[in-house]
Amino acid sequence: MRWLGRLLFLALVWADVRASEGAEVFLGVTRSEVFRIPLGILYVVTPPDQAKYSSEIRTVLEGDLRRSQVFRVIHPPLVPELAGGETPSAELIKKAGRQDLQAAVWISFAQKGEELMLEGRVYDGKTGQMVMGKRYMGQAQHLRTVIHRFSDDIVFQYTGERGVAETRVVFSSSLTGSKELYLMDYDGYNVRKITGDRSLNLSPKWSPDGNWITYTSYRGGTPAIYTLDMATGRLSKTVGLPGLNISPAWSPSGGELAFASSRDGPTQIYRVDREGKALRRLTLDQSDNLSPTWSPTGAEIAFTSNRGGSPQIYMMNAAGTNVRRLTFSGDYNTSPSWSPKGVSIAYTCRVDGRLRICAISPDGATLARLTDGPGEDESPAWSPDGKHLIFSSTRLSRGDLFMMNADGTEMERLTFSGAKNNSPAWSP
Amino acid sequence: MRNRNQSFLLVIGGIGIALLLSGCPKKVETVRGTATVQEEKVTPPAEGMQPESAPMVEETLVGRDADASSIAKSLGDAYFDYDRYTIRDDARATLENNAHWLNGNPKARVKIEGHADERGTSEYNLALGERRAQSAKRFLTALGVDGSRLSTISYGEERPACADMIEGCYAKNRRVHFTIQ
Amino acid sequence: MVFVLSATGNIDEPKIEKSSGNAFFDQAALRAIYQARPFPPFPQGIQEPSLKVHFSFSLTEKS
Repeated sequence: MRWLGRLLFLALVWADVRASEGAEVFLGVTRSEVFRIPLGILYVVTPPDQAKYSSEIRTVLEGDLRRSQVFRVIHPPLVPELAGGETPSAELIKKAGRQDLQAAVWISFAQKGEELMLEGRVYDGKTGQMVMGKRYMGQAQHLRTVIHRFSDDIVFQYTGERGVAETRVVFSSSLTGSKELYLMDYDGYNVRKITGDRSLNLSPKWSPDGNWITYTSYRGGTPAIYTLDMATGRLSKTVGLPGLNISPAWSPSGGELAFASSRDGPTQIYRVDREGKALRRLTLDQSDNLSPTWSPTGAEIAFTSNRGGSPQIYMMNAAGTNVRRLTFSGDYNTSPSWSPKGVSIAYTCRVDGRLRICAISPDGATLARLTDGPGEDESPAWSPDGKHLIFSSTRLSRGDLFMMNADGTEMERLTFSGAKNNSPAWSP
Repeated sequence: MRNRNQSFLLVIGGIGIALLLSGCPKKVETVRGTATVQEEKVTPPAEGMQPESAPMVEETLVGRDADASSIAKSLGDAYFDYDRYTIRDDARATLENNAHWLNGNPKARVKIEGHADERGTSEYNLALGERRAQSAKRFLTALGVDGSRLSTISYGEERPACADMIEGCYAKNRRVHFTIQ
Repeated sequence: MVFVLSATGNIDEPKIEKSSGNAFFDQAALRAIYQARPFPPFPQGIQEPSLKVHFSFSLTEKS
């Protein structure tokens, strides 16, 4: 940031300020927003009796593409020739593309009985050439999934990285009176219950391959860590040391599980292998240490510790050595979550007595408070592409999940059940 | 002066971009040429739901030596200050009474539950509840109660005694609670 | 942002004079000022011991 110093220096030279009492200067800089590709859905072709699907397809796809942060969705005027239902020619696309469209989307959809077919094509708005085209087939009840798949393919086509529209979020909810785990699509739709033991089921986390959900459950009477195999529905007990077994977190390779246990008195961080064996204690201090989160390389772990007198975020390498403190601002910083891109650690910070979501760079140099407003926010979790955060908040209710961009903008509410919904985790 | 103005404005322009954080615009290449339409079957991933079941261990009050309700009255809750697990004076009195009862009923086994109010984050509150339970247990063993009769468990903020979002309720939730095994 | 810059290049606490409406952007601007410390001393010709600087950061939409 030496630039700012030099800027001021030059500004003062240029301003040629004369000696006087209380001199003031006015300066400024302007930054341009990151460019987003203008994209428009030109037409959705459906059989005449299935026209109702057209608006759902548009809404879902536009939402997915907007959230990807890659596209700016625009609504060009309808090109009447497209209403015929035939696949558009390059000339027609170029005509539509005159509305400054860079990506033009054309969709043909039909449902036959229990099956659907969605053909999605993306054209370059300037040349009219088709950039990608795919025909998706699936069950009728999976229409949203098909649209999400198309959106992720479009994002991949333009950036080389898949979008996250097909991903899911697991969370804990008090809807039934106890705390059960629920799954939902990344956009809040299709909420479905995945535990049903009427105990406390907390802190769910995904395995890196998305096949398991590991969580703390009181189903056996005391808090132990269980793993649910999503393919088979089989539940197994992974760790059951005396005392607390909480805040599980899989290493990025899926080979190790870090968690916190109070078997030795104060809560400490341990690791085990995926069979629950080879137990190793990582933290040695007589304070409380919990909520481990792995760096994307698996080399380091950030965690909460009150060894300094108040709960703060610390870092150590994955063997437990080289412990250093990361947060120095505020008296309550907990629940870290390391971005899959490695560049940022989101956590819950207490600001003016209220919990907020903050983010800090792993070197501690850059710190930002991301949320504000009524109520309190906690428990941030990253999307697998590192572009979004999901967290729980009491800003509008007893506790609901919200999604926002990594910079705190475009906040969107995801749950509306009226229960306390918290502890979200985003699938890979 | 004009050259100075220009270089100054250039500096501002250059700095404007260098100054602020994140998000260099990605260089996007539009793919030219005709692509062919591929086919793809879409099936969402399997989601093995857990069938509904009762918890494996039910918590019951077992009254062997005395009536269950009189036991519940004999062992009072002890309360804590915000973010603290040290025993305060009023808690001291309650725990001394509990120790007295326990010493008079040597067969009774007790579970000490540690709780926290809902402020603060849920995982940290589990650790805080655990500290409170262990703190109460240490206090009782120091008064002669055999530690093997006392088990501890933390419920963090998950089982509040009182649900309103006011200090009166919060104070009631920052507690250890005793149940007879 | 507004802050007072001394002849030696130190500043007092920068303050948000008018928020951009985006908390993250406000903080990025504050950080930019913090991280630019220490500033170089005043060039010759500027006599006063300190200067009150109003620095405006703006964000525009580029399509």
